[in-house]
Amino acid sequence: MIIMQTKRMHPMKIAFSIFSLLRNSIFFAFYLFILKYNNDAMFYKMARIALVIIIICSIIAIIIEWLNTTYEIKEGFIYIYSGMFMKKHNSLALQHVQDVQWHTPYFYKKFQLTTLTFEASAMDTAATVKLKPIKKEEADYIAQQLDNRREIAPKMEQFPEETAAAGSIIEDSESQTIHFRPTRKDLWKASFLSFRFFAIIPVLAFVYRGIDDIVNIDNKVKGTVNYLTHSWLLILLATSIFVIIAVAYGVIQTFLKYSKYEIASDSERIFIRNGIFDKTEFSIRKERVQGVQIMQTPLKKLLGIAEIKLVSGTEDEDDEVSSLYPFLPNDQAYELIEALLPAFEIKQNMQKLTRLSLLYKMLRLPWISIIATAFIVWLKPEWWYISLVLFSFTYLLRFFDYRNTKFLLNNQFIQFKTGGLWSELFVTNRKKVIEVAVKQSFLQKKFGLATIETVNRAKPVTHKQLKDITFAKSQQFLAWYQERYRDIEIDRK
Amino acid sequence: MVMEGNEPINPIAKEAVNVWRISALITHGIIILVFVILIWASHTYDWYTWIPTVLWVLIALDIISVIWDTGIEPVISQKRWRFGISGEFVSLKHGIFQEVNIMIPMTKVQFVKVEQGPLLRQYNLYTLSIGTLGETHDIPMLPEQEALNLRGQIANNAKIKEVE
Repeated sequence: MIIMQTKRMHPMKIAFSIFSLLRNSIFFAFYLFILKYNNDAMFYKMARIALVIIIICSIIAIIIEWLNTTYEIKEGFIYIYSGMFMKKHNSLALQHVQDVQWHTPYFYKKFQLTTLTFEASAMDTAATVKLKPIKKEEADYIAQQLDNRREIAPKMEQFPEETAAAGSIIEDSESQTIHFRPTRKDLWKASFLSFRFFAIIPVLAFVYRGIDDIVNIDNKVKGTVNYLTHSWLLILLATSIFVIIAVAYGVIQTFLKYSKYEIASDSERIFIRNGIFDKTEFSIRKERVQGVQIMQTPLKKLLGIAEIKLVSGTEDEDDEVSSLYPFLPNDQAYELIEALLPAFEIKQNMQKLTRLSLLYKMLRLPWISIIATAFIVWLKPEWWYISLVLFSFTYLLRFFDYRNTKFLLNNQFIQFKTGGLWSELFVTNRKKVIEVAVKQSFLQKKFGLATIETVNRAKPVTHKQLKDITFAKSQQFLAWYQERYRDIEIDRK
Repeated sequence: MVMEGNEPINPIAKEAVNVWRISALITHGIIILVFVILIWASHTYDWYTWIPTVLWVLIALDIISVIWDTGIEPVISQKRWRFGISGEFVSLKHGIFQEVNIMIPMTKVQFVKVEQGPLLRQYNLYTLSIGTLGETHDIPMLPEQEALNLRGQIANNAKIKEVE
């Protein structure tokens, strides 16, 4: 049993909060106190006073918040008490904790601190508890306790209390296998595929605006531009310099982000570690993974690269969490899934749709194109070719869709592959599917086709559809689902 | 077991047709009343002349949909509705333009409840709601005894949970 006193977050929290407050207000401060220092207009005077008052109040609020926020772990629950006027209690059963995330920004590391986030597999409420920041040793201790608790939880029912308590010593961190670390080559590929170099455009725009506020460079630039456009050589030079800067920026960004990237696992959990300066560790229990998605953009398809996503109850506040490394070579992606999640088996030889499905797909009315055409005829008849492009594009996409759609029922697994230019392969198993549906529109019925749908648990649920398979297959799918009882284990509590 | 293969076979109450008819009539009655009031207002307060025209068209469309909603839809809907309960699954099948066949494992049922509005009370019918993690599925128009029995049966079967 874990017993801890009520504690506050580490006092360094105050320092960090004040630091980020100052960082956020530095722009205003710079503007009001330095750039407009000599401007004695009423507005600027008031603004200066207001800024000082806001900063002082915020600092007081930070201190009060720190004083009033405490956490404790008792009787299998973690509690967070917070709030000055409105008392807020947040609690989470340790047994239900699904993922633990560690986040250690660069500054935290210096003080041996870290942020620990627990996420529970709650049904409806997003149950997340954040300890920010706490001493690293303490985080280690809590995480260790958490593991013990979860290990023992099922056994508790069978054994008397004492033996269960004694059992807590047995658990020891098992050795982890590292499955993936991007190589130099992977990183270079990622640099170009992530299109991070485009990100420089807003950055440059921001810098330009910033400088423009101080010195009016607009006129100067206009002069320069005039000068540049007179010489092709200079244009070429300027463009290449810009491209080089952009590419370098993209490469540096990617290397910073992914060069310490690591996917590891032990028998129960998958770990994703990330970051050079800001260290993040994310772990998810394998049994909580409800399904696996392999996503490909058209470009990735051409280059044989894929992204693996895990469908889980985890909150998708940022996509990185559910996504394993987004630039995996195809075969490595499949190997990785096999190694990480033996519970999901992916087979390559999947079944295609019938010709009838193709016919059906082609017969559906292309509403968007029709409406667009109507508008073109009405407003700008001379743009008729746009409508032509739209129609051919729609039908081409349908054809790709048909070619790409595949599925397979393989023992307890089901695989869908969908999408035209973008494609997505979804794999799950019968046990993890919480509901199924077969849908048939009037026209589908005439063609003897049907749409099948699976529902998996996520937050709250995710629906996956496979359209236009034969009715016979859809019935096989239902029969397959009814065999579910073979895979599940009944909880006899 | 009231399922044959993948197909649920239990029908809902015959009275459903009448209940749906009455509720459609009430809804459309209110809609038409609102339109009529608006037409009256547009004449009284001299609104743009196209407004009453549009309103008359809407009334005409609404009357057409009354024919569908009372004459055709309830009959087909009642005929198509099927549900089945086995030890392991709840199965529902319904829909006119799109036929939907849903299968929910008992172990994934979170709650089950019966409900009765004023109109249903007249016919002594109930709606049974089955809640899963993501959504709620309703079986409409069940006779009292059947609804209560089903609720008991599903609640009982749903007590069993899977090891996750």
